[in-house]
Amino acid sequence: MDGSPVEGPWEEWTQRCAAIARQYRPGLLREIAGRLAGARIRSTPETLAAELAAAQSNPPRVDRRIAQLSYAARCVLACVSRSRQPVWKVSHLATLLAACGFHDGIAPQEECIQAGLMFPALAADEPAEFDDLQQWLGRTGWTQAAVLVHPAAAARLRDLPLLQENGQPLGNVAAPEQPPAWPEASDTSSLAPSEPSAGPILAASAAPDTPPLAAHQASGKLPPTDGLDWPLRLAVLWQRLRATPARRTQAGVLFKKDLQRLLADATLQAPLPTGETADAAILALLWATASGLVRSEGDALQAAPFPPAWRQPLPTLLAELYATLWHVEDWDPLHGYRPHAAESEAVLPTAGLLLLLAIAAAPTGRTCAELARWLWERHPSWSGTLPPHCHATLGQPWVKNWLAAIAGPLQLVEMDGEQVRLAPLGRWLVGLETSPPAAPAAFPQTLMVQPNAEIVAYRQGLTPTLIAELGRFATWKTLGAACVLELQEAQVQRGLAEGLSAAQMLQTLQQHSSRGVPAGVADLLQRWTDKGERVTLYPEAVLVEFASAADLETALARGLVTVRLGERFGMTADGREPDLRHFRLLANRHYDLAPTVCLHVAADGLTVEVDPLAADLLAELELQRFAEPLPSGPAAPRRYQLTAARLRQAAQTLSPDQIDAWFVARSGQPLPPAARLLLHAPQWTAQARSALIVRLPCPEAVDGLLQWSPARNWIAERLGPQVIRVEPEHLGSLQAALAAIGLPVEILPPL
Amino acid sequence: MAAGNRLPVKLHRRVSLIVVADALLAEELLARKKLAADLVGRLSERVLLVRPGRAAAVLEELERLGYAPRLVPPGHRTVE
Repeated sequence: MDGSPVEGPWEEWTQRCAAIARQYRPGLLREIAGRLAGARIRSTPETLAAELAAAQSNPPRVDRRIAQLSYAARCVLACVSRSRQPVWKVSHLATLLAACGFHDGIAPQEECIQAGLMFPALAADEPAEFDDLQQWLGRTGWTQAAVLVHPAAAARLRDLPLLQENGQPLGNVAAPEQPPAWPEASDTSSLAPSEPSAGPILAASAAPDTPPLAAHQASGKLPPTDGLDWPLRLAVLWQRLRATPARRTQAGVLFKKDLQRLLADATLQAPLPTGETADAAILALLWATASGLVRSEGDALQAAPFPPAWRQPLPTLLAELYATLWHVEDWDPLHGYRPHAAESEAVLPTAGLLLLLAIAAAPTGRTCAELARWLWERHPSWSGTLPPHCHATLGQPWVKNWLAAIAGPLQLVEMDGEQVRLAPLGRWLVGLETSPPAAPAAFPQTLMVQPNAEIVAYRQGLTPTLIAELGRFATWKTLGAACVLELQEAQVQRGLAEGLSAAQMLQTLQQHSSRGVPAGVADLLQRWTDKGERVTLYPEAVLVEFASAADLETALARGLVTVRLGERFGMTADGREPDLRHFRLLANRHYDLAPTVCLHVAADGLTVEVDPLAADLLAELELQRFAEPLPSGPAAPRRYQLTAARLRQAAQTLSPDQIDAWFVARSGQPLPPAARLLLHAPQWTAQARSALIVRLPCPEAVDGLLQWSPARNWIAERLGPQVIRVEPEHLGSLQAALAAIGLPVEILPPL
Repeated sequence: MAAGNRLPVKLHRRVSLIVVADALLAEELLARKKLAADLVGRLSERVLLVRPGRAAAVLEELERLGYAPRLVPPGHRTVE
């Protein structure tokens, strides 16, 4: 498959370019595709876009277009090429060009887009067709807009000398005919920044009178690095975020709690062999996010699966980190974490790449002072971001810190005191070598597993793959010449939860251990594994409810479901939807929807019948808090009886309103009166006694009696609309009074 | 039973449940007051039904209690 170990398979970039091109105004697409790909005018936009994208991998076509570009346009493509990062912000590329002596703003990028060699990084939901870079920048915003160069097209420029205005080659392909315009090493008469010129900028080779590197007596040698410093820190960060994701505010700034947690992590903050790094933990977080090791989900930053580069040799991973470095903005070598600096202050990507390009132009090396001065003079805004105490030295501390924190550990440069030159990996990445350096020799048996479950990992044998594997089940404790991990239950359980088995963990340890795995450690792993398999949680499973137990047995025998959950319930091993071709769907219930009415209360107020099609699993289980199951036939709907015992037990944890609400949701009516009687009876009292009652023909008669002055004194109590209670001694008086007004009272025998 | 034909079924989707190794462990979990509040009941002697929307809280509580539950599918929570 065509591609590169750094940018990945070209096919993915081709598809991306085609998708972007489909969002072009049709007329624009036709023009660009016609110029680059020779596409026919009458082709459909989809065809034109596909041909334009495919042309990116066509070297003769690309070379022909490149030859027609201006110096500035070629320069911008070459910068992208040497960065190995196909996607760059428009503003950053303009800054790089300005530093290279081209002050045409975005015109070179517009030219590249018109030539079909650069694409605006359009969002899938762009509101309008792309027609013009200026217009699009106006919609998207200068600080956010980015462009993309297909790696295959960019690769054509990696070897090409970049021409300056005066014809001097940029890059280091050959010694220039004229001496390069580097400040003389001995010229310290003025440290004030001089007027930036449009002259030679990246001179080809060392000035003739610069002593060779070997003769320099450096003030102090910095230790060589094995390239593992940042991969290890990223792996540690990944592990920390897997346990507890970090969160960002709406403004995109880390929450103080998470910031403090990461900065307090001694392992993440441990100094690099090249020196202290300001807020190393946060640089690791930003870098991991840029490289895809950490993903953003809403406001949370979570550990993501290790990208494919982690399964490759170390140089490939370092190249990947190099390419993604240019997307790290919120970190400063002097200040550390600097979130949301204004666009003019986001200098890290451009300053860093320019430093590397400047070092590339001088194969015998340059001093930090020379590099700082060059950057001070060339970068439009870098000097403005420096604190006042750096002005006297033209920002040397910034340069030194960047080299020590990033370029050195990443094996991009070699540092010998003040002298800096490209290391073999750096030379390959910027195009000065055609093949990457060989991966370090492998020492597979690089672990020592100790009986106390600690693992000593010697760096000589660590590879990205092994680092990633170990981090999935062992906790990183310290980093150093010998790193220390520890097997801890929580970490092992996370590994198990993510699909690792105890056997796989043991295999990793045994394969890489010089003395095997102690029996106690193996036993510990197995015990933790057994514990982890005692409880399994399925957060979103699909359950299959069969009509009968026999149907479930049939389904199990045929492998349609593999897990038996009850007499009539089954599930696939992973809880996902089974193959529905073997089933006839009677009903479908989603448990993230509101509960539905599925119970029918009989006339007696206590018998409840379940609607088998409408009912869900929760309904019957919850009903059993109030009712006991009744016997029912195999084909008959299931029935339950509300009982006093169950109702009263439920009332200990549920309020009357909650019980009523549940019945309304499930049966359409509140708790039936009969059930309410069973529930509340112990709180009520009833009395029985003999009484003399008088029933009157209508409520109005009782109303009249209560108002009529002689009679009202003989009425003891009104028992109902037409019924009154009368004391026996007053019956005669009442009877006489009513008889006098024509309402006789008939005395009936007792019932 | 619809022999040789498609089996009539009812599907229950997006159900949260816990499957335990034995019935005693199910009793043990139901006896945990805070956990029990998020459990609807037992589907069978080894299967407990979790209230909708409470899976994350149950997971957290199980981990807090030291049960170290296995999550299926594994990628549901964090990473592969």
